[in-house]
Amino acid sequence: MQIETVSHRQDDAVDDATPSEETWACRILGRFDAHESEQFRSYFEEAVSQGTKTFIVDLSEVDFVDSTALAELVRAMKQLRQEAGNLILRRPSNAVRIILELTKLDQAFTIEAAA
Amino acid sequence: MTQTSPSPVESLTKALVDANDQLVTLYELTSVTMRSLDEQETASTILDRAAQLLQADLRLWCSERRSTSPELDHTTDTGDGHYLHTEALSGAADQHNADSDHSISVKLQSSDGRQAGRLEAIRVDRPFGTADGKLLTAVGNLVSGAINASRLHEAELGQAMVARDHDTASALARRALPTWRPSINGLEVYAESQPARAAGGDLFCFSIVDNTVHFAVGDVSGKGLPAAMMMTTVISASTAAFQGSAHAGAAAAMTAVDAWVYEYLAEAGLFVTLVVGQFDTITRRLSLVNAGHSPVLIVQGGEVTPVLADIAPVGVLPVADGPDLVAQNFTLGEGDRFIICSDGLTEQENPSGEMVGEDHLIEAVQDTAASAHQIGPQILEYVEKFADGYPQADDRTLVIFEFTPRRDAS
Repeated sequence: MQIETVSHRQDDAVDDATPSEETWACRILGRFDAHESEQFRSYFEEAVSQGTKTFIVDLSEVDFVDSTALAELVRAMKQLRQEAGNLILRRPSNAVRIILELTKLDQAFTIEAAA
Repeated sequence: MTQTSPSPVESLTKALVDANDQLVTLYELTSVTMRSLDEQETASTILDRAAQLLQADLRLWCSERRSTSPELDHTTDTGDGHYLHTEALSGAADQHNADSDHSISVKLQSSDGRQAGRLEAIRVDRPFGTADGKLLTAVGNLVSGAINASRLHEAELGQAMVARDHDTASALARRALPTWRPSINGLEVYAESQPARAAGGDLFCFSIVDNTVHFAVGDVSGKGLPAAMMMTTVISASTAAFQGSAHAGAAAAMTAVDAWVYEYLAEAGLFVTLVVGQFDTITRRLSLVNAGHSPVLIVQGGEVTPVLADIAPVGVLPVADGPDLVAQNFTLGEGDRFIICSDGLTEQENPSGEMVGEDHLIEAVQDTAASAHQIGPQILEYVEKFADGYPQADDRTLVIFEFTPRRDAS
């Protein structure tokens, strides 16, 4: 997996994001599992420390997601909602979308489908 | 009385005796290093011998405390970023301000190459020569080696204690999984869990109330001991819910489990995919609530139907905040099966990066010629063979309920 860290200042990887002072984004490529969750958390915590209210995770290039990674997304979503913010899952790939539907996590997250 | 200079013969004899004493001391010095693993004791002994060899006072500083435990720490904070570790003093050096010719020092290195301390020699009656410097360097290397060996030993002891505690906690967590399976007329139950590490987050538990088998099968997100600790909490909550909601239905049991564990899971940043249900073995009615778990399958007359999730996993959103839960109900016949797996089974990879998937699982559970107790081990064996030596990344759990002909009392 790779995480492309994209701040609101360099928003080319999430081109339809609405750049704002409070929006951070990242795009995850390949596998998203226990091994990579720490990197995601590190970037997310940096965003939170900068006062972000909206964090966008582009999942269009993810080909596998495991329960540890899902738990990391849930944790991030809850943390932001406690601070009146939100975590947005953008364009989940088929592999991710199926997992989200099977687990009913699609009902918990805010999901932006492909335009 | 006049003092006469020693004769050349006397001087030569004295030099020979001194050289012999030094050789004996050097031999003793090289013999003391590993008699003890206590670094303070070893360093003191080396410095005592080295002080005789160099005919000087010695002080050893280290750049960190000997130990964070006060009873093990014999160092003294000197206020300059060092701690006086040990010394071999005759007392003479304290009474003189040693200049550069009368004081030499060497740096000590830790096993990773960082500066670990400093060894200083002070001699007031005569200046140090080049040979003394080399000798002090040798003594410094000896002290460094002894201290590094002692600290390595201490670190290994510490790691061994942590590993032992981890093993104990893992064993306790594993014991939360029941070793018994429901034995009740008209129902056969196969259940097996294989953790990827010493302990895992997969779980199953059962309870029998009257003719009804209550069950919970789940998978705590994450791996290892943290997931295992949460797994034990979910089992406790499920068992309590079975007793408290025995006649209230599966939805009430799931709500009770959620009320018990939601805060624990939320605080730990975890969730659990969970199926809570009950079989009435008289009416053969299966009632369940699925909180985000997959795969869950029902096999009726050879037809396989997936049981989709009703709600998100427990710990994501409080059940009480959502719509009223309604259980899914099925009426099963003889030979029908209900299967719950964890994703560790279907997502097991082989060296080529391929996953087991659900096809083989579905094919195996459709085999009506074999019983649940035959099918279960076969599926687990298939997954192990499929892995072909590739490491098990996640816990594997398989639970099969099979309705069998009732042995009615005549």
